[in-house]
Amino acid sequence: MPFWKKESLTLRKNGFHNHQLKLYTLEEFTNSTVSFDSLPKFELVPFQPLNKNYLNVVYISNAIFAVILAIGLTLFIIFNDFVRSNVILWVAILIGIIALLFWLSNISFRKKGYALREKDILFRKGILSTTKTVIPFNRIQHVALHEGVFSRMYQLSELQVYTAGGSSSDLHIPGLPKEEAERIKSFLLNKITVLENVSNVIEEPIFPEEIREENHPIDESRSDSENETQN
Amino acid sequence: MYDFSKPQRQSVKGIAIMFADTLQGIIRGLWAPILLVIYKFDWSKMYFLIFGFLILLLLIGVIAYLKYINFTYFLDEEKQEFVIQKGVITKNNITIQLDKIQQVNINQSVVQKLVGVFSVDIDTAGSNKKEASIRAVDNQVALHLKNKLLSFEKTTIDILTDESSLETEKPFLKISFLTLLKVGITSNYGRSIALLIGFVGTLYGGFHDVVTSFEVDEEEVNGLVDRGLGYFSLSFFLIGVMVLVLLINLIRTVVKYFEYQMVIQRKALAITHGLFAKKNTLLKPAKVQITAFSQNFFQRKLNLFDLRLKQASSTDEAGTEGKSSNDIEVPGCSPAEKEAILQMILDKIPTTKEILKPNFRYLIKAILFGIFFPCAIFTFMGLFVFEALQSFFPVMIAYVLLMGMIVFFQFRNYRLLLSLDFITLKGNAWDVQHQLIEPFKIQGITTKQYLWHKRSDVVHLTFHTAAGDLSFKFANYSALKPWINYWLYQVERSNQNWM
Repeated sequence: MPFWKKESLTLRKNGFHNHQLKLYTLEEFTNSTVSFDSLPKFELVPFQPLNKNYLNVVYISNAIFAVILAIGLTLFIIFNDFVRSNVILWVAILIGIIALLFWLSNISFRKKGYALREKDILFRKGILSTTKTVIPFNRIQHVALHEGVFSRMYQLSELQVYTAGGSSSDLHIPGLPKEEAERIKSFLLNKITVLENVSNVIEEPIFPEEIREENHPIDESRSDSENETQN
Repeated sequence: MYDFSKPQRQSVKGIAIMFADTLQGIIRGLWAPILLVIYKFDWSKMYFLIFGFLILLLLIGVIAYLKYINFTYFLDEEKQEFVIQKGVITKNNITIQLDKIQQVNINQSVVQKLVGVFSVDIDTAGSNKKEASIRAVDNQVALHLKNKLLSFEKTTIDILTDESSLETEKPFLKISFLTLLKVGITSNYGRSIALLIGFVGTLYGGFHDVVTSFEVDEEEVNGLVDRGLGYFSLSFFLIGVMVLVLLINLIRTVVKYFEYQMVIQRKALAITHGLFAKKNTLLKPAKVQITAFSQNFFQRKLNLFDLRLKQASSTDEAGTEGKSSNDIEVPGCSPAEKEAILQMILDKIPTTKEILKPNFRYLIKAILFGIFFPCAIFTFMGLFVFEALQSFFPVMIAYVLLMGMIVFFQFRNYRLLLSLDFITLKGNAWDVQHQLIEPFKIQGITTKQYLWHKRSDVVHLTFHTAAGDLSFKFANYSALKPWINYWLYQVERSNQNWM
């Protein structure tokens, strides 16, 4: 069982339970005092590592880059006297760079991780720093899956979560097994739609006038389009 | 007749569009090598060139065809989603929730006009416009698709625009000519100075060109300038610059904000201003993402605030609301007017419960990068590279004093003011700015901690909002954690529309 299906078991511990998506009434809108300590703690969330095969994908692209670098250096050795005169030094530098590249991507792989909570998705990354981003489900705009050439060899895909906060807050979660990514995606999309529906239900009693007025032109356009399609 | 529920391809003519797009991409990417080849080419081998060109065209044709074949879109009415699948080598699958669609635009470029197709661009808040764009469909298909997509949209259509001319209410806020003059004198020094430097720079460049091209003896001119510009005339020159800056400021402010007026029309703010071109803007309070007000030393003496309302930045509704930028500025308002506008937009006046200060490492970093490194580089250059710089070493003292003041005030003003309903980021040395966000308008929160900050419990915090990111750096992580959890709780349980 994927961990995020167990959410109802594991995540209930975290404070607020409106998981059943009960419909709020106006009274429940009052802002009772919140005890900060009782809130679920984002800093204690355990992160899921990426799929191990993703490290191979990264290594493959690193290797290609390394080969290109090596070819470049070989050309230099053949054609450039200055480089040819200290071949050993340059080869050592190249090997150093490649080793550093592999080492850093290994660290980066181990630092990357994601977590799904009842109401938000978290992603962690970074080499020198640790960056944690939290995106609540009700702020997700849409979700996309990407598959690179090498990722496809290992049946992996990248999940991209878009928000209205611009590209800096979009999540790119690479190295997810394809099926898992698909499931997370439909899980997220499902969450979004359910949340939207709830907010629709609530809005109506609060601004009945506005809703009616603003719906009017839309209803018209809808009937228009239906007529046109019937033609 | 038009059924979008099954995966659809674009119009067959779309191959031509794909072809043009790919060709354009290649030319844009490789224009430099192409030019080089043409320039250096041995024209006796013309046939090779033509042959190569034909092969390239063929290749692009194949790519265009593959792109066409691999691009499908369909409307999933059950899940209320619009799905685009594309990509030849890398497969992309884009799913858009129908009610997230802000706008659907039907456009036609020159190439599309030639072929007779339209592109349908779907604009969702936040993401790149190019993400969801169908490049080639027939006119009828485009119209029906637009209708279909928008018929699910909830509340974005404004009826306000129709009635705005009928209602004439008394202005909520009016900025007098005198206030504009005050604003012109006291604000935007930085921008005007930059403008002036740019102007003088081009002027000097032109002057320099004249001198060199007429082979005027440069030594002679320089000597003349040196003799002419004594200390007296230098100070005179500085005063002239200051007057010029003020003048530019004044004219800009008056032209832009002449007869600034704010009227409340059915829960929205209608704003008109401008001397030559009247600008009309209609703003719904709920659409404001960040409310910012700033005040510098002079403005504080004059009791003036500069107010700025920032809206979601990816929705360009230029057609209906006639605005070029998404920021709405109120150039000068009194404290009372400021409060009234805040009340109107935020429903309550912000209070402060807790004030977070940055760690002293903020100061260290600012001193290192603002004072130490520039001075070190300057000294190094003066001692080892250009000896002529040594005569300018005294300037460094003035620089250190000025930067020291700026850094000190920046540190003193850099605060995060928190209350249950508001987050206020205070900052800047001269134009002290307060940026207000309501927790439920946050789109996401990022914390960033460097390895060497772990032990000192320091973290950089970023709020992502639809109007851009706000960052508070060098914060105390332990003090922040409960707040972050609280904000997430606020966002996640809130059913308020963030726009």
